[in-house]
Amino acid sequence: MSVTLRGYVEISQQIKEIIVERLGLKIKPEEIKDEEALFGEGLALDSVEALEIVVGLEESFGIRIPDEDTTEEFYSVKTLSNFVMKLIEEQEMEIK
Amino acid sequence: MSILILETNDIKNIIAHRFPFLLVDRVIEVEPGVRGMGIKCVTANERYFEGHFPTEPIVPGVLIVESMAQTAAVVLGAAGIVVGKGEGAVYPKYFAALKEVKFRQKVIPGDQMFILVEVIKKFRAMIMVDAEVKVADKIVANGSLILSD
Repeated sequence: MSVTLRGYVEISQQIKEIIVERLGLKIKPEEIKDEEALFGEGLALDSVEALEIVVGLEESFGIRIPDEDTTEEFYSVKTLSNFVMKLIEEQEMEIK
Repeated sequence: MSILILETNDIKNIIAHRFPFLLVDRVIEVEPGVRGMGIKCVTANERYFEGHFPTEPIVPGVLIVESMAQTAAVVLGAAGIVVGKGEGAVYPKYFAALKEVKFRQKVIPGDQMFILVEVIKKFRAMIMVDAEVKVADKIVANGSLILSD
């Protein structure tokens, strides 16, 4: 399915589900706000949980997340969704 | 990338563990940074059998997990994968998390453990590794480890 069909709403919802399921959080996915901080404040996730999310995103979206400085991309569900959409698009191009 | 066999002395050049806590004897089928198969031969002389247990020697499950981690550290170290920036940080040294580790069968003197590890993902200072330990082709333990510098 191309990135144009999988819009922001669908991807951000899926990311929230990945976060809640993989980390075993006792909240509902929709309780995570799009612009809320994931690390430090907000949800206050840690670096082990970051790796869990990365593995979950790679499996669910079939992408490869580079091990680079992605602090800004991992700030919130919103920034993460945009990052995932960019990776899907770039890596689909690579396959073609 | 070439497939390596690493003997005890090679292992000691990669990880810092020593007697009585070097818990992998050889690592075969090493694809540096990707996967490898550790071998640990369990003898009746292992020190921990004095207490675990005096009348029924069983390898403690936590030491099986340690064997998984040491094998993983060798596989990562063989690729020169550096975690963190500290001096001498050439292999992951610490457990950050263990996930869904299961112990399925007792490991006793005379058993040869085959410890298959596969690196799943490195992200920042954390590395996820899946591991499965077999004795005589039966799975005795498996799980997922997250290691850090």
